[in-house]
Amino acid sequence: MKKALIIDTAMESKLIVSGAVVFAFLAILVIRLYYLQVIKGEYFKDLSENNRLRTVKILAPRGEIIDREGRLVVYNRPSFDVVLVLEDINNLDTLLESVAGITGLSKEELFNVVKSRTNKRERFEPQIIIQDADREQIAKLEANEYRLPGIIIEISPARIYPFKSLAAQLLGYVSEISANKLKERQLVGDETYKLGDLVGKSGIEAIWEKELRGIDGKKLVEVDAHGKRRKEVGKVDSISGKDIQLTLDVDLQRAAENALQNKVGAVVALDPNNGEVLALVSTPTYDLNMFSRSVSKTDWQALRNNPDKPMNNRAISGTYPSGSTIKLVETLAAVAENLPLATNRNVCPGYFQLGRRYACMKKEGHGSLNLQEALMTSCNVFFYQLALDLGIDRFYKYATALGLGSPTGINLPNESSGLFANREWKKNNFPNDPHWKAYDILPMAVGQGFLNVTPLQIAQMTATIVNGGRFYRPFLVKKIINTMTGEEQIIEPELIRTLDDIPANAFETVKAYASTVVNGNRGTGRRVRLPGIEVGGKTGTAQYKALVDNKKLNPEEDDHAWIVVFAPVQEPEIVVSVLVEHGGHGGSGAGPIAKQVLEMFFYKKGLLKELSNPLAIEKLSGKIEEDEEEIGFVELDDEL
Amino acid sequence: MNYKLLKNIDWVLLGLVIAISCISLFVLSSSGYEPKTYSSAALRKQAFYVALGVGGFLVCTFIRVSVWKYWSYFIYGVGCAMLVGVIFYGDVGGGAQRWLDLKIVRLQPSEVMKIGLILALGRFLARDTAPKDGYGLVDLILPGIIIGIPTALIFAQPDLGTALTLIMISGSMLWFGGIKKKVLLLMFFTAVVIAVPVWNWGLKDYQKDRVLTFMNPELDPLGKGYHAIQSKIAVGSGGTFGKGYKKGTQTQLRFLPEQNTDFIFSVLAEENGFIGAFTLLSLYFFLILRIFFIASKGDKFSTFLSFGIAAYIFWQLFVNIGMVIGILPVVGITLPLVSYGGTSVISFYISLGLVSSVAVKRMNFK
Repeated sequence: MKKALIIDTAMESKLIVSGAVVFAFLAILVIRLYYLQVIKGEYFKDLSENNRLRTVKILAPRGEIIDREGRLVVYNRPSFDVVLVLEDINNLDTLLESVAGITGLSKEELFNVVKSRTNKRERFEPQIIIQDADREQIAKLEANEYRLPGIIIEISPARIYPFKSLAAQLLGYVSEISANKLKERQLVGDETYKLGDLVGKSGIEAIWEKELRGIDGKKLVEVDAHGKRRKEVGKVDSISGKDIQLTLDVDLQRAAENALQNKVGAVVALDPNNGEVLALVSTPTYDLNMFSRSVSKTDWQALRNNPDKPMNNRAISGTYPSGSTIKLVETLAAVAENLPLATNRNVCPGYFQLGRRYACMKKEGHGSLNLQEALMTSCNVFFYQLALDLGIDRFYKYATALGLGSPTGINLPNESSGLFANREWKKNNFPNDPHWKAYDILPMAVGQGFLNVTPLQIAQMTATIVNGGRFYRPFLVKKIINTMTGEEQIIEPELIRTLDDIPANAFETVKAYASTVVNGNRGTGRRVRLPGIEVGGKTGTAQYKALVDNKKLNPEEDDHAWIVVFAPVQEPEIVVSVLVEHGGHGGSGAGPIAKQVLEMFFYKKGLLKELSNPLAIEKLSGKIEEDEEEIGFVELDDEL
Repeated sequence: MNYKLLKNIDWVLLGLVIAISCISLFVLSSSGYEPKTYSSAALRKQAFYVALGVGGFLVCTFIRVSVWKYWSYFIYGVGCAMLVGVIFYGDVGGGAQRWLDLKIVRLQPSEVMKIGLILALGRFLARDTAPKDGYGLVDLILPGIIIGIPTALIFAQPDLGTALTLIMISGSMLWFGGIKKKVLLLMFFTAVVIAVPVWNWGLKDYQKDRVLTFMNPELDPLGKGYHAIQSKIAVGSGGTFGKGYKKGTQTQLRFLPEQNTDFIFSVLAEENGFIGAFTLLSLYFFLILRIFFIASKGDKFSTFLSFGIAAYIFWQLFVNIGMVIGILPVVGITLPLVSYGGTSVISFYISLGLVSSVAVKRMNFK
């Protein structure tokens, strides 16, 4: 019994072996501890106490923006910042004095920059004292590095716009996120933004912020006693933002901007078959490069105080009376509804009588006209009668079906909805005169009065007519490209509705009539004729009633010039709408601009031999003027 | 109850255990210190757990080893059932299902399982029918199943660290029970062969990353290597005598993750230096030797039980400290008796209570 309790000798010896094994393993731990704590103790003490291991942010480059042919429209350049870490500095005063002496900046200014941000920073957080320093300053600072403990030169990506002012309002700019926006984002649980981060503030940069913005990386660096980064211990790479391909064609955009030079206005070019925006111009414009890093106060003030408001995108947010371009809608409605005037002739004596006299543009009158001739000559009298026959309800139905009175839904900020009135609207807006009166429709018949449109709406309206009633949402971004994985997300055109109620022949009739506007002998759009290509369209001259700066403008000048054209008439591939503020008559004021855009479009297709504006050829395609030497792809983490 | 029993308690064992607990409380009073409240909530709770643990230790002491032996398979079964329960009702903590909420207490079944496995395997190995000349391949099928079920369940949680501890504990016990040399060699080679598919398909990405960053922590100093680097700095910067109580910069600035639990050793090493770390290791060494001594005096089951618990304490402390000082990969394993946490502290006290029961029995019921 007793013996059974006692374990055998084999087990006893195993216990002894186990004891030895435990001793050996623990000895390994002790030796390792001795090495770390006693032998290397001072080294680790230094690392821990002086916070010698620092986390440094690696800024992710924003995605690039290219046009429909792959030409870079927005990309990144390296920007050199002079940065200091307060904790590494013994004497800020003498240090800033040396920096000031080397860079030629004033010491007080530098001191103020340091002061302005001290209470918002974390310990050991680097702060920028010179943003986007020039190369000479950087070279001098680097040469004197040993005299400047605590000073570091960091490289971060900044936006560059090779075409400068091209499509400025459309592309938009980036700048540091505001404290309010930062708070807003944090409230909804978005912690990805920090103070000082760049964020898209307008245009494509704002709308596609989520895609364009990359994910910042970070690295752990060991710094020496002077705060200089000596060794990279490791890093998490940044992830660049996604690239965006626009539907825009830089050549068309530039042709339009050149044609609009020194004028205030807008141009929209659409592909009527899918809603792609080929050009979207608003003038005056501004050089986006002034926002490349941070905009200077004087530049910003000048931009904001410019009476012509260069930052407004007139093509989508400017609302104007449509002028006679609205007659395309009335013509379509007349044919579709089989109004008497669709086939009957009417006589224009030079005025229209309803209570009072409404004058026609041609004082002596157009004489006897049919619908086609009325559209061609833009006879107001004919359309007054036509609109009365049509009535506001049907007019409203057709105009809104073609998109007037509501935003087109293009993915850009600040789009206006414009206005197209109906009975309801009058009741709400004229409490003293709430009932719709027959004469209310008369100004609208010629694109005045209770209606307002944007250049984009006119282009979309025309595109819908010439493509046979397919109402597309205009769009600007074709493709989102993930450069890290090569994945591409293609954005498909969006067909919002088809106007099935309108017979196909009505659309064809309007196209044919609109062709005579350009190609007929008495057509108002004769200036837009192209050799070998049939162009159709409609001009418009919108009265502008307000006075500017209390000066009475001369009567020619106070009208806005409109034109909308499409070509080729049989199978339209492009629709261009042009508005020139105070541009005078549509045909002469806006026509030549539309023509230059059409010319560029068909020239590139090889259907035209030459351009009427030789300047445009010179600037065609690819050639980018560079201020400095060419900047290739830049690795952004090579300062160690 | 019985004065004689109390007198017969192995006071050396209990003394060593309480000494280690005192180190734990001392470290927690610094690492868990919150300047805002001028106190350490971790310290208060841990003191409570230690009190519970000592109670559990005494209760276990007074239960005869034969009772433990009788219930061993049942406890093992309960442990397995709880592990299955975790799969369906477990709380997710840190991306893995490890906790079981029993309304009154929340506990980690994997800790219960360790004791259950040691009991069951001890009873199995202590059978009278055990092969005299060591276990052959066929003899290993049954113990393989006993070990395999809980290990697989814990691995699936996924808790790689605990699964590996189970394998190390039971491996040690099998070796202690005697395995044929041929089989040992064969097992070694199969382990190598199995490692490849397990690596490729069995491990979650974060588990692979931990092993990879262990091989080279500098690969990813801000992500997965962060723990390893910061704890190495903390330990090293302690030097010979340490930075002093509540003076560890890494500790007090909260550079270390989980500094009260898995990484508590780095706090000890930073603030109390090589001297402090060496003291704790010595206490562990004496504790394990004492358990071996007790093991050598018991019956077969008692010996296996004591040996298994010694292995449990040893492997867990070795892997934990090894990870803190950068010679082993970072796996979530607590430091026996020192790490903050109720389940961990109490299960170690209960395990040691079993050893104590072996020691008492020897004197009382001989």
